[in-house]
Amino acid sequence: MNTSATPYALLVPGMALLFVFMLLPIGYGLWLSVHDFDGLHVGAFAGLAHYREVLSDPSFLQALGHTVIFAIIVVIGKNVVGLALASLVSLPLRGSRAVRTILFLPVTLNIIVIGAFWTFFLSARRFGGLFNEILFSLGLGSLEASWLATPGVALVTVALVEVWRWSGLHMLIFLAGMQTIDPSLYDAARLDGANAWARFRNVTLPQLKPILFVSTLLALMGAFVRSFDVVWVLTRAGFGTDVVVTHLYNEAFQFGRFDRAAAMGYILFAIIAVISFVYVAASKGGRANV
Amino acid sequence: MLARLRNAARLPLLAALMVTSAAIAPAMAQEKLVVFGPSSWDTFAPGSPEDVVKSTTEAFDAKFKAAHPEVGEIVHDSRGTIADGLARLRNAQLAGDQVDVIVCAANPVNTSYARLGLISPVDDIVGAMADTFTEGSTANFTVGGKVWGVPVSAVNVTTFFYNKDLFDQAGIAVPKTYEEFKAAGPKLAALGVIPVIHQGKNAWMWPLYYMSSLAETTDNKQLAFVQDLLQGKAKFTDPVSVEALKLSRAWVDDGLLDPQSNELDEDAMKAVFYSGKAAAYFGGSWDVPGVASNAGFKWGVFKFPKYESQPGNPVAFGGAESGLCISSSSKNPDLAKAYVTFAAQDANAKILLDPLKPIATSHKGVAGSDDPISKDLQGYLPADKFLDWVWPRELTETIQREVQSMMGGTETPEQAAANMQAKFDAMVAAGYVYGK
Repeated sequence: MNTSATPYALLVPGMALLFVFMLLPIGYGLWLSVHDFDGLHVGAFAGLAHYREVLSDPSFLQALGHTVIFAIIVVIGKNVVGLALASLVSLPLRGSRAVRTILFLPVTLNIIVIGAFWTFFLSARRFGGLFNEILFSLGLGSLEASWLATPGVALVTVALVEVWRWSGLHMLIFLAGMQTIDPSLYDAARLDGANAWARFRNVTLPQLKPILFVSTLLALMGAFVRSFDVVWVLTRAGFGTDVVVTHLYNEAFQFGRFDRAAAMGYILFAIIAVISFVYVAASKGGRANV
Repeated sequence: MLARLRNAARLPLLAALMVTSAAIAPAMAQEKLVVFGPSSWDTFAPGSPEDVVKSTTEAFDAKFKAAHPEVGEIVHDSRGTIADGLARLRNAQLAGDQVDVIVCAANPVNTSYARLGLISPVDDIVGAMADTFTEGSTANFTVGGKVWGVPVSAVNVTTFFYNKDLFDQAGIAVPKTYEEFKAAGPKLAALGVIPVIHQGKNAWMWPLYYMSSLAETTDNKQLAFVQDLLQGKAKFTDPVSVEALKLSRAWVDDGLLDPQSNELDEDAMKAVFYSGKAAAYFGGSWDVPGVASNAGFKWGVFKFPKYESQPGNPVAFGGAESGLCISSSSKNPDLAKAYVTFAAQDANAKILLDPLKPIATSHKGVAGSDDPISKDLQGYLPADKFLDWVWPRELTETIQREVQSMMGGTETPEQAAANMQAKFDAMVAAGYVYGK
C-alpha cells in the first residue's frame, strides 16, 4: 500500500459514517424543507414557501422568543453555577470528593425521574408539594405559586431545572480547567497580597477563558437544540414554555407538516450558527490574550 | 462401487434432512401479527387493572390462534400517553416497524389517522357484518364516506365521579344544577376537601368543560354551531361561545374547581381523588374499572349539571369510541383483516368487552352491564358526539391550550375566545376548508 495514501484510507470508514449519518440527513432535510412533505409522501417543490410561512407564524415566533429567554437563563446559569461549584469543591476541604460526586448525580439521572421529582416537589402544598411547604413554613406563603403551571413563571422554572440538571457537568469542565492552572501564579498573587476574591478574579478567571469559551458554547447549543426533554416532561410545552424544538415536534408529529418542521429546524440551525460565529469571532481576541 | 457407496451414504443424510425440514417447516411458516396501541389506553379492556388487560388479551389471542393455526405469535405493543399516540404510531410506521392491527380510538381516527393515510378502509368488513353493530357505532369511525375502524367498544359517556362518603359527611345530595353544586361547595371545603379536581396538565381534558357548557348555551345545538363555525358562519367570539367559556371559568371562580388543577396529570389527579382529598372529578365512564378497583370509599356518578340560566339541557359526550383499524403499512393485511373480523364477532367481542362492565356496547349481541353504576350511566344515553372529533386537530390543540390558560386564571374568557378565533382565521388564510 502506498504509505502516503494510508492516512486517507484510514479516514474512509469514519468519513463514510459521517456522510451517511450526518451529511446525508442534513442534505435530505434541507431538500425536504423546500418540498411539500407530509411524512409519507414527498410532493411538489415549494421553494422558500415553508420558510416564509414559518417566519410569519406568530406561534413560531413566540416559541422562538421562549427559546431565547430559556437560552439566556440556561447559558448564564450553567456557567455561573458550574464555576461557583467548581471553585467550592476545589478548596482543600474534607469530603470535597464526595460532594463532587453528589453534585454530578443530576447529570446521570433519567429525565423521567427528573420530571417526576420536580413536578411533585414544585406542586401545590395541598398536593404534597415540598417547595411551597418550605416557603409557607418560613413565613413566605405569599411567594407560593404554581411553579410549573403559570405562564411567565413556568419557563423560568423549567430553565432553572435545566441549570440544576447540567451544572454538575459544567462544574467538572471548570474543575478540569482549574487543575491545569500553574500553582505558582497563585503563589505570586499571594505574595502580592491578593485575597481570595482577587486571586479568583485576576488568576482563575483569565486562565479559565478557553474553558469558559467551550462551556458557554456547549451550554448555548444545548439550550437551543436539547431543551425538548426537560420541557416535555415538566410542562408538555404548555403554560408559555413552548420552545422551538417542542413546536417543531408538534408541527411534524401532531399536525403531520414535516415540511414546515424541517424549515423550522433549518431556521434554528441558522440562528445557532450565527450566534456561535459571532461568539467565536468575539472570543478570538480574548483568547489570544490569554 | 465407490459411487454406489457414496449414494448409499447420502440416503440417511437425505432422510435426516427431510425429517428435520418437516419438523421445522410448520414453525417457520407460522406468522406473526402485531397489534399496536398508540397509547397505553389503546388496549383490550382499557382502563382495567393490568392483570385484567393481560388475561383478557391472552384469552382472546388464544381463541384466535386456535381458529388460525397459521399464527404463531401475536405481539401487543401499547404504551405512552394519549397526547403522544399519533406521534408514536407515525414513528413506528415511518421506521418500518411491523404494525398490522391498530387499537384505535374514534377521536384520532376522525381527526388524524384517516386523513394522514395511516389506516386502511374497512368498509368490506363492516358491510358484511352490518347487523352486528348498534346504531351510530360505525358512524363514529366514518370519515369522508368510508369506514376506517371496526367498532369493538364499550359505549362511554362523560360523567362526574364523586366520593359518596364525603358527600354524606357534608350532608349534600347529588347536584342536579350548577347552582346546587355551587351551594354545596363551601360545605365540602369546610371538611378540608377540594370540591372538584381536574387533570389540568393534560390539556386535552379541559375542552370537556367548554363543550358541556356550550351544549347548554346553544340550546343543545353545539354540533351545528361548530359546523357553522368551521364554515365561517359563526365565531368563537359569538355570545354563546363566550358565555360557555365564562360558565366554564365560573367553576374556578365559584370555588368548586381547584385553581391549581393545571399542576396535575391524570395519575396525580386520581391519587388526590382516591386519597379522599377531593370530592369529585369530571371524566368519563372509561374510568369506571379503575375507580372500582382503586377507590377505598363509596362512590357514584352524576351527569354534568344544568345551568339554570341557560336554555339547553345537560348532555353527556361519548359513544362507541374504541375499535380496531388495519394499518396501511401492514405487510399482511389479510391476516390483520381476519383478526379484526374475528374480534368483531359477538362471542369474541363479549370476551373483550365484559371486563369493562360497559353501560352499553357497540354490538347488538353484547348487552351492557346491569350493576347500579351502569344503570345510572345508561340514563345519560344517547350520548352526543365529542366536538374535538369535529374540530381540526390543529384547532383542537389551540382550544385545549386556551381553555387551560383560562381555567388557570391567566386569560379571560374573552381573550381565550379571541385567540381561538385568531387561530381559526389563520388556518383559513393558510388554506383550510371545512370538509376537505
